[in-house]
Amino acid sequence: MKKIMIIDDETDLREMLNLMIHKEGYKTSMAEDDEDFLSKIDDFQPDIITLDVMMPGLTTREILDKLKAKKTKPKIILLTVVRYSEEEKQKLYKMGIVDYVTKPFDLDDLISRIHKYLDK
Amino acid sequence: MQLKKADQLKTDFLNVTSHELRTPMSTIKGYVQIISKQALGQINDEQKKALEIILRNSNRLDTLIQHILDISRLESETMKFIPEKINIKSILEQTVETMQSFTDTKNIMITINLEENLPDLIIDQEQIKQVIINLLNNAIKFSYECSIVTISFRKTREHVLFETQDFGRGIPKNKQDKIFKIFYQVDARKDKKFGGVGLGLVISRGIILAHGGNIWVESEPGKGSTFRFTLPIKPVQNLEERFRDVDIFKLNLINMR
Repeated sequence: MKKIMIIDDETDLREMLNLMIHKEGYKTSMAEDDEDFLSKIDDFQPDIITLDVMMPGLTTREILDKLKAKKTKPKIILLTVVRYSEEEKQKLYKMGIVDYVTKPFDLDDLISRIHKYLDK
Repeated sequence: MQLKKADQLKTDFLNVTSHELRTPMSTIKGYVQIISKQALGQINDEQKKALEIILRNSNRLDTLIQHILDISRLESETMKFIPEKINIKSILEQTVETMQSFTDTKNIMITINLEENLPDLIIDQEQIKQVIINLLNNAIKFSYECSIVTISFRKTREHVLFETQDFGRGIPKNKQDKIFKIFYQVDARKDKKFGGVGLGLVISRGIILAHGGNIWVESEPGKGSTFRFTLPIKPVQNLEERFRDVDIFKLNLINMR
């Protein structure tokens, strides 16, 4: 079973995503901050991470840097509120982010992206 | 340097505000979608209808949030533009598709006249889409039920000209320039039932002027309104800088045509 990790400091949103992704037939794990994330990542080894772009005290880059030291190489989908130019997108791709959705995102859209990156 | 820093602060502030407003919206809409799909169990028709109303009002709130943020970006001169080479036909198809449910509820037929061989334009796709949605939304909103809204795109010498025409109640002459002003409504009392707060056209105007185009209306009470905007075929440079010159509160200084 493919595994998805949801990293978001916002409890309600995190649980909503978890519920839906779980219903879609994936194994899920949730993390609310970097400590939580670091303590779970080695065991869980996700195929995809959904990552909120704006977590207090933690930049996306820091998460990605920490991830670099890990064995697991999940694909990352960013949850954001801004739009990116082509140049910025290329930068994101270089950082290991495969895609992004802009809030308030359409749930079906996010799910279909997850399917796509897992070839389901 | 100091100025740059202040701009960055404004941008950061608006991005954080945006994040704080949109995160709960995502949660609300997400749960509505989950329940509507019957992923948490079967629901009856009445419940389905209630969810549709929640979703419709969430979308309305969403648009309002977006408009208020855009107005703030307009006012603080921190709107972000991402110009790309865009095919006009595809942009129009996407916008009309998003309006489908709205046209269905009022039984409005949209007819599209697209000139052959329109040139690709270097524009900010999302922003121009937003302008078209605003104009279409207004056209449908002020149309009578079971009528027609026409859209057309055609080439003039140096521009591409976009047009929406409705056969609704129209706008009196003395109010035609005011509708591009912030919070202005032609008939505040009656317009209330149509929804909207008078921000869409202000934002649209800012976006079009920044692109080096123009936007205006021709209308006759009782017969309907035609909104037009132009976009230059030869793209302008520095959209963000041009955008700063758009003064949203001093419309009368700007030649509408």
